[in-house]
Amino acid sequence: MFKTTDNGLFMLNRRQLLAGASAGTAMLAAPSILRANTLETLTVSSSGGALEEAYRKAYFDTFEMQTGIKTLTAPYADTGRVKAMVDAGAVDIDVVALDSGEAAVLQRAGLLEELDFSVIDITGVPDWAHSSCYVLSDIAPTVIAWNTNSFSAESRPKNWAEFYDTEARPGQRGLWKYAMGTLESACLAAGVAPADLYPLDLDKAFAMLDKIKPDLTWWTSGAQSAQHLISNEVDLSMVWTGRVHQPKVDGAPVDYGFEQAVWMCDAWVIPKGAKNKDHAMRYIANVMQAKNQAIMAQNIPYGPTITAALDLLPPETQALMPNFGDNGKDAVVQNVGYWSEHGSEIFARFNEWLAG
Amino acid sequence: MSAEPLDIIGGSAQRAGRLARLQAGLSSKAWLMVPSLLLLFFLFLVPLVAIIGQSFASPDGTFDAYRRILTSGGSLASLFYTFRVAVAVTLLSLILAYPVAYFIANARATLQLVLISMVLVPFWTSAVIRSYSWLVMLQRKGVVNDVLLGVGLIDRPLRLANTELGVHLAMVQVMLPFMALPLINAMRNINPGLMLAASILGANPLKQFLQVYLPLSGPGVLAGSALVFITTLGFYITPALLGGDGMMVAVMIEQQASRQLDWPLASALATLLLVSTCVFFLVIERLRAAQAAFRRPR
Repeated sequence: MFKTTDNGLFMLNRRQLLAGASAGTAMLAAPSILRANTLETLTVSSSGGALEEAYRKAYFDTFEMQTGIKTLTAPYADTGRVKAMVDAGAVDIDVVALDSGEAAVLQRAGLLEELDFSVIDITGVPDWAHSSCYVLSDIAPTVIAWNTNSFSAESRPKNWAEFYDTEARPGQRGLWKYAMGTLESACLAAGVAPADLYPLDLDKAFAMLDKIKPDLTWWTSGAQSAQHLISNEVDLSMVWTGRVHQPKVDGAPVDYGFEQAVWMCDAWVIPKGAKNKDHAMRYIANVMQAKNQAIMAQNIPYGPTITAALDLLPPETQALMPNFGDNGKDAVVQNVGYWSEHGSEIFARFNEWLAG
Repeated sequence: MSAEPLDIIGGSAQRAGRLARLQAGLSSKAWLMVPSLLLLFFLFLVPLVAIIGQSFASPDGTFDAYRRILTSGGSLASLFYTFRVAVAVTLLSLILAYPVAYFIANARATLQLVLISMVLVPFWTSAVIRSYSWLVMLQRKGVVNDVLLGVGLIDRPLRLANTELGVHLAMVQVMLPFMALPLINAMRNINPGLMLAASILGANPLKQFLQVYLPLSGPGVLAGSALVFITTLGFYITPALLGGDGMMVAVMIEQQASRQLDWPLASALATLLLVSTCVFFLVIERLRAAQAAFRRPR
């Protein structure tokens, strides 16, 4: 397995070298041969797709430019894979990007390295965006989206209470078939104040879900949520903005608002026993820099957790950010610590409700 | 990582093969099974034992994971839902496949060949593609609703996709070949003269079918049902794509194993599924044995 990676790497360097030479930068070829022999790499896993492309521009490339360490990408390592890797003592991924809920579960299970905050600068990062074992780099807001053939900017629901009210606004609803996020929306719809959201009032939440169940279509992946909305399988849906923003720009009949957004975030962690721990710390330090988070925000409309990064953005990008100006005024940050502690019971109850 | 166990298997397969040939007073061809047995041992049996072990490794006590499954409604509901879907899909497949298999088994040889290949063609298409096709058919702006609206039978699109109806339809279609092929096979072995004999002895067509044909096609019914039932129990992709309100146990195992990190619970669910599948298999075997005894001339 390692052999093929080495070979693959070597090929890549040769190809890069050829590309470089053909681009007329033959002068650079000599140092890059030297570097190829002692090339240092860091293996980073993320969910791929548009998110990984944005990571590449904002974090992978800037890190290589700054340190000469090349980022190798690995397929998504969910919590199960991280546990398997750590338990087997075969940690071949140095840095893992996953969602904040997963990071909290991994931290609770003791499967992560403590972060070194003398290397990683978190000044200006809000308290909810870091813990001893993870930092959050961007906000992926969960919002209410609508098919523009079914609702207009005026007639659409402007909060979760209106989303759950099927009499005032008839139409098929879409929610994530997953307790996290869906139960927050139900609590907010039941009138729980954002500040009092946790611990979740489950009785209220399930009562709201009971009301909406006949008009409900579940989605099980982000891609499905967007597809249901665009094909008008549903008229309204809870979605991650990253899934519907590009279709909207490309002219698909879909739009979204930021009211009562539930902020889910992307987290960075180092699995326990990572081989390149020092580089991994420097890597995460690079993620937590305003200018790099600003590059990130320009490539995918997820909000930077460092508020200073917002000031570096052009106005049209600022307007897309969930945490810019009034966009985030009634938003809720998902409490992943609460979920990692009570997840088992809540999921059991959610699954029971699904079957009931 | 993956290269290592494979090397071990490759190396010791030959050695073990020689051993088996020398020692065993078994058949001289028994060594042919050794490579696949070793493969099964390392890549199936060892992980299986690990999973069963994991299900008893809760930090809160040996049987904690099972206690939580039996006391929490969620896991039980998911198991019941899975069995309900599996029973429904098996019965529907049987009802749909039986007449078709009868027709094919009694058709002329060339027609039979054409019809059997028609059964096989969808079998070669992946379940993912077929599930997506059902989505295209059943969605609100899909083919079925468009036709019904166009004909004027309905004035509002029906909700078909992401319902239990949709999940069942798609699963039955995916599973039909598994039911049809064993049925055709069993029916081709039925001597048509027996039906004739029954009719000469005065049995009406219903009696001919119930007392002669159905029992003789029994092995095919059992084999097909076992295949469909057991495969449906572990179905993942079709219910994940086509929704429905309940949660199949495979989807739940994935959720517990890869997101909630509750490996003991995930392993216990997997073990329960395995045990119930084995019990089901044993029942089928008993039925088969009983049927064979019944068919022996008295």
